[in-house]
Amino acid sequence: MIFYICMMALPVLQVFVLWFCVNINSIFLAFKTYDYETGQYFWNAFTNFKNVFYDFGRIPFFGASIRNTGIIYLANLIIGTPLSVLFSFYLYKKMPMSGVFKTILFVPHILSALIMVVIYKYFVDRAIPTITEIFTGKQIEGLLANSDTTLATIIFYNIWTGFGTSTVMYSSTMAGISESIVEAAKLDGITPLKELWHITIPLIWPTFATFVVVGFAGLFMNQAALYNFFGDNAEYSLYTFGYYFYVSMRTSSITQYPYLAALGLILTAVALPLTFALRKLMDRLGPKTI
Amino acid sequence: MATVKLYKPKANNERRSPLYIAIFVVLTVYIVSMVLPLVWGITTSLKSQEEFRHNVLWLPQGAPWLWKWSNYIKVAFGFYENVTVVGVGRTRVYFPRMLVNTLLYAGGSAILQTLCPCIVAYLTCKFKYKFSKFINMFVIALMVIPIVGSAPSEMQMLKTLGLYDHMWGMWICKFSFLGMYYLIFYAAFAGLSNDFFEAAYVDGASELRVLLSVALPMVRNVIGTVLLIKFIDFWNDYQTPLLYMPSQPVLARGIFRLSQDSQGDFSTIPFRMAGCMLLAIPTMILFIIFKDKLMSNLSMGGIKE
Repeated sequence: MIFYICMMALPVLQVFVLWFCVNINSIFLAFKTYDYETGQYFWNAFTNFKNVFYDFGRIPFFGASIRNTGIIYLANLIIGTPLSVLFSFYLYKKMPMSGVFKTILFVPHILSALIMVVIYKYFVDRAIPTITEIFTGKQIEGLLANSDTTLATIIFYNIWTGFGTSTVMYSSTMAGISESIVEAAKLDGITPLKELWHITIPLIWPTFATFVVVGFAGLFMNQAALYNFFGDNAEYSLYTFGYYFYVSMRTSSITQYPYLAALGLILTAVALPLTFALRKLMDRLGPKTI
Repeated sequence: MATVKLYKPKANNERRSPLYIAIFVVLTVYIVSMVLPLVWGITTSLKSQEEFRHNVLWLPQGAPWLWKWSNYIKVAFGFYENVTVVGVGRTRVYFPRMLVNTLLYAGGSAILQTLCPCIVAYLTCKFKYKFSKFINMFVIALMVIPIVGSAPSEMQMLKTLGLYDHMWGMWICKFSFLGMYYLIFYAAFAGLSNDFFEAAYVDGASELRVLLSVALPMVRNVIGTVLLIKFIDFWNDYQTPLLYMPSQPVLARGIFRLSQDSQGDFSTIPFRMAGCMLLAIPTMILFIIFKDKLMSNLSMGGIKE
């Protein structure tokens, strides 16, 4: 028991101070305001919340943040997740060039997101217009520079670099499926598509559901690599909440902290029931999630 | 005479399935789309800005030894980041100093963020107290509880505790067992047979000896994998040090600044690409050496029984 307490003390103290106290303080902060003259925080009831709700209807980047956060999550869920499962199935079946594919899929996870962004940014803005001109004779604007294609280019980037961890996780989990189940199904003449749909996906459901739920839980903190692309200067129309929070922390003074804490609390109140609803839904569709 | 038809695996037929062919095509396109910009980035880093203006796509002109390898030297020894240090004022931090900061930040944080979940997972897995169950539930619950916007409070707390803008402050922040890797370590310890531990106890080993000489060596592969992943994550992380450790820039932050600055000697695309490649070299070397380790031992959630 003494060993247990001694070993547990520091990690628990760390979490108590830097997680529990931080979050409790964040709730208090949302109900305070900072006075520059005295250098003190004062209680101000719901003023910060009123300001946030007022700004939702007034400041354009809030609307853009809601829209972009949703679009980027849905694009990843509808396009990225099915592709991840298909890629994993291919790797799990050890089809031709699986090793090469697996390695390259993992590269964006190894290289800094910053490096990927810098290369991608100049490739789509400088190389692609040059390639287009060579093949079609037409001069086009860079895909990021052209405001009509900027958001789509960023969404593509997020899907394009997002396969690494999920593919490795899914294919590792698929590798744990009993060979006898698969062999029995093959004796019955099952096709690969049916095997994927009726055997593989139901059996990896816990991992799949975990990824979907955890991904949703991080919805409002997702920067979508915007800071890597634009630093502090992204267009308002591209904002996500994750980006807004980070840029505000970089550029705002401490007078803004209570406002940010209130916004965070509102978004947590929105995300919490939605996350639990999604978890329930995944529970219903499959056997068990975390 | 009756004949028995034996089952033969249809490996070749299976490979010709439209599903696999379609995935193969998509993956091939993906790989080309991934490799092409990377190769383009490398070749661009070896051009002068003047050459890049006229030759955006193709290899640098001339023999390889005539390419602008000097871009790398110039970035490595000439590029600096301006920071403000309390009591000193505005000062320049050059690439080598950023490298030292990165090694301290990534190395220290990776060790602490690997050992902490590992030890806590061992304790909760092997000592079945109510508190262990609580910790287990707590970690799992936190993974799906979305907490948004606690950064202002965190900043306040770090400043109050004197952790802000200190390397050791960052290490303390990273000494946390929360997150996915706790579950991975927990699964690793749960898979170990109790016989090993009991044999050690019978031999008179203390709890600490059992942890250090029996438990940790038995999960050393998982420790190694998590340590590598964490090191690479922290090596590439510039946003946390930028926010919480502003006077001690790491390499990734330097490259971020290099990629954003529109003025100065280094604000050209070839220099930016050279900076990116310099940042990428160590992680790529680690990846090449430990590729199999990094892409294995990652399993969470499991199989439906």
